Amino acid sequence: MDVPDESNEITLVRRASGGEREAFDELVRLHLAQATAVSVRLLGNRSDAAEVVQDAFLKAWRSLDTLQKPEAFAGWLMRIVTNLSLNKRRSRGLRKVTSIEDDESGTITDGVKSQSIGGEAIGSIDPKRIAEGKELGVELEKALALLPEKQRVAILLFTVQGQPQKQIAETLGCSVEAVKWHVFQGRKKLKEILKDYL
Amino acid sequence: MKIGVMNRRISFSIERLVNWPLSTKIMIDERTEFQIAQLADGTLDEACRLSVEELVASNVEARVMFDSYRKLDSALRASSVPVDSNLVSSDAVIGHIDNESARSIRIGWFRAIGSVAAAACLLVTTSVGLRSIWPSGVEMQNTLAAAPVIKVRGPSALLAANWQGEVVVKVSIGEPADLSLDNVARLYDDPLPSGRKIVISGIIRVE
Repeated sequence: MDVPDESNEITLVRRASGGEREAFDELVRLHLAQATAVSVRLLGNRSDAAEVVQDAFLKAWRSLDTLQKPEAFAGWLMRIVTNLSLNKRRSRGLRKVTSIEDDESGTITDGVKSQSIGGEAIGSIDPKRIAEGKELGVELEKALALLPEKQRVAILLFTVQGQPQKQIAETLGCSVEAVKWHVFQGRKKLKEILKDYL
Repeated sequence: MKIGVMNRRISFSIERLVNWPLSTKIMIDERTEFQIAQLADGTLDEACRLSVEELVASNVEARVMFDSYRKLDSALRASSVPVDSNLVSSDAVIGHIDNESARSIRIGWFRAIGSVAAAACLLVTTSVGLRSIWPSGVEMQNTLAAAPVIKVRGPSALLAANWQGEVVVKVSIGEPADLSLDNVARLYDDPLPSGRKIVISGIIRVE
């Protein structure tokens, strides 16, 4: 995952706020991967996520003049991505669990689930444990869907995507301490739901 | 014999309890669990780290809890979706922004033109409507008032040289209502090139 240089990003945001499209195009290139990953995780559907990401960047371009702190661009953008993704999810009535494996491109999913299990390289574990890992992945998806929205989003952004807690706080519109608490409460519930697998 | 064995077992159990570290006997409350979870994901403050690490090292329950959080985090990270470069490219996003911006400009133009057209239609409709409901008498007065002054030269009466009476010359548009055919001599003229005949009558009234 690309980590944009902060001072360079602030310069780009300022230039883009002044109407410079090339600067905004550069911001798109810097944040596209993260935005796509977040949207796919929140929606569980790649085609919807692609649509949401495009709309999110368009919305960001149109409302860039409302961004008061250029240094908060990443969190602000992820907030747009997250909100659009959740709105899309709600509009689809997606309360059911949407496993990545339900998606049409299942080959990627298999790769994801079998990349590592419990931090171990795939070559060092036996097929039984791979199967257990896949089963855990499926159960994890189901369990995540049961969490309250803020806890789910906080876990997906922090634990799964590895975003800084400060940025997640900007995304969720809360304090860093609240983010920590959401992550903890969510993980605690997941641990309880998945106690047979952990 | 049996009593001796039992005594040894009891004394062994007491010895084990006494020798256990104190930390193994504490209950793990939510605050401690929060710290253990933070230790597992690496976000625990340095100030608390040492004491929580000691607890995890010495307490079985704390260690099991720590391990389960580590396993959960590993499973969550393993479920991370790798970015598929074919899913959406930066060029596609930039193109989308370009298209939508151009569409907004077109829509702006259409809106502007539409507004002008709608205003013109409204103006025409209002004018036609006002004309249709305007009283006809008023319209005639306005028309007459607005008509240019027409100077009519003549008609003049051709009188006999010995005529002694008064001569009145009247000019009217159309047939005069007070014509008395017996003593009227008419003069006709058609000053307008239209098909509508305007009669200018010179009336010679003999008193």
